[in-house]
Amino acid sequence: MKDERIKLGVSLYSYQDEFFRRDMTLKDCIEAVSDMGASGIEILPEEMIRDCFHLTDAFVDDWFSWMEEYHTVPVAVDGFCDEKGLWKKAGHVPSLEEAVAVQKRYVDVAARLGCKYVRTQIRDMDLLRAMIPYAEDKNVILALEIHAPGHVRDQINMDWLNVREQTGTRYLGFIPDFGIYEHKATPIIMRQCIRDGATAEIWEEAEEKKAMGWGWDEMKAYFEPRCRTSGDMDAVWRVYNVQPDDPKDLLEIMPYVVGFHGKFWNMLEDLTEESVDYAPVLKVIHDAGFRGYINSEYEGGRHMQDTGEVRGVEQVRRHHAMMRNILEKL
Amino acid sequence: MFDNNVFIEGTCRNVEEGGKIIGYEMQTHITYYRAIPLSMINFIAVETDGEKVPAEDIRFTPDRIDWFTLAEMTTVTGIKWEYDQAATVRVLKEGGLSSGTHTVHLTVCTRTAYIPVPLEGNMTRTVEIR
Repeated sequence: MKDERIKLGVSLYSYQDEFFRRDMTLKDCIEAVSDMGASGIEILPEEMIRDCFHLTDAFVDDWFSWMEEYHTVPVAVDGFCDEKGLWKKAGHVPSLEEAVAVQKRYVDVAARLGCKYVRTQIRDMDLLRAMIPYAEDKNVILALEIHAPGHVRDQINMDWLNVREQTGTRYLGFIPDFGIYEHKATPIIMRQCIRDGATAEIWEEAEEKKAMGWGWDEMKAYFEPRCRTSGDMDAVWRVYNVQPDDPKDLLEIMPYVVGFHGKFWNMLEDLTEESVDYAPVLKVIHDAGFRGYINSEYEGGRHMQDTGEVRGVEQVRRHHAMMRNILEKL
Repeated sequence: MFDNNVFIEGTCRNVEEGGKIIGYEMQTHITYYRAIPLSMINFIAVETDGEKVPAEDIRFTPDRIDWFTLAEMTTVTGIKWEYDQAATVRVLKEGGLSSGTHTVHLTVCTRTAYIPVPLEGNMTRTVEIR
């Protein structure tokens, strides 16, 4: 198999609609990954595991028995930056200790589930530094997601690299998300914005201001008073988000990339993605010798729930078929 | 967004306590894709027959064990609303809803630090009170 160098997995986030409808249990989701011939499992503990910060031994036993049964591998846990939101409405600014306590929980879950890294949203360098000894102790890498509308060369990523260098730790890495290569506002989302009342005028004006190089703060300040519907503001955000990165920039950080999020919104029947061109990116990372996992992350579902049944399993199946087709030719 | 998660069909009913109808309630799922502590719920709003329910008359519980006012929820960081858990929104109103048909609109809005647009879900249901 030519594509052995790059491994394919799934963020179970992709199956959230099936899980929510109770069509599939967590075990079924893992089986679905295996069923396509993929092996990597990424999970949002807060999505699919009840009381996930107090895992029972029985659950952990089940988890590893499923990995064995389906020949799958725990790869990643997705963490969030709730320290910024937990006390916001109460007006309390969390101390560093409080923020560390929030973040340690994700490292703990990852360690117990046998995952090698946590997708983290930590953007505060003091918090990051404070977390490093804990991550090292638990043998779990903290990986910053490079997510749209961000880019590989953003200052935040350079800050991470500086901390990595200064501390000499091997426990900091990156997870680039394929959404940073979105080359046009995803049709499935724009159609939803229109259903939610977005107007052509707002959409056009957003495209105009973005082309002028406006940042999000400027966009927000200008459009918020002008938007009349939730669809309007969402359309502005979506238009702003389209800032495709240059895949070659990945070469600068590739030694520190622990995995990718194979973000996609809509796989068409001809096995193409509507707004992300995977081939050039896969070529860059293949040629650079990347050997980790690309975990599919289907995000179109929640933008079409009002029009029909979301089929995450089928979408991911097409996504893997597309990636295999591309990888086999490299 | 996540409109389909909001206001589970067939769950709206009057609530009786101590022989008196003290209000009405309905069940709903979260407008998000994961569990969050109650302090991260941006707001919950109810509009019945075109009339907005005052925020102070709303009570919320994720588990039917612990009940909170919306103001209390802002400091509840230790109790989570799980992704697939049907929570209850109760409106305190003496006598509840009268027998017959009513139009009840529920809004659930969550907000997290990394998404600039709040995740607001809305659902209107025509409910039959007997």
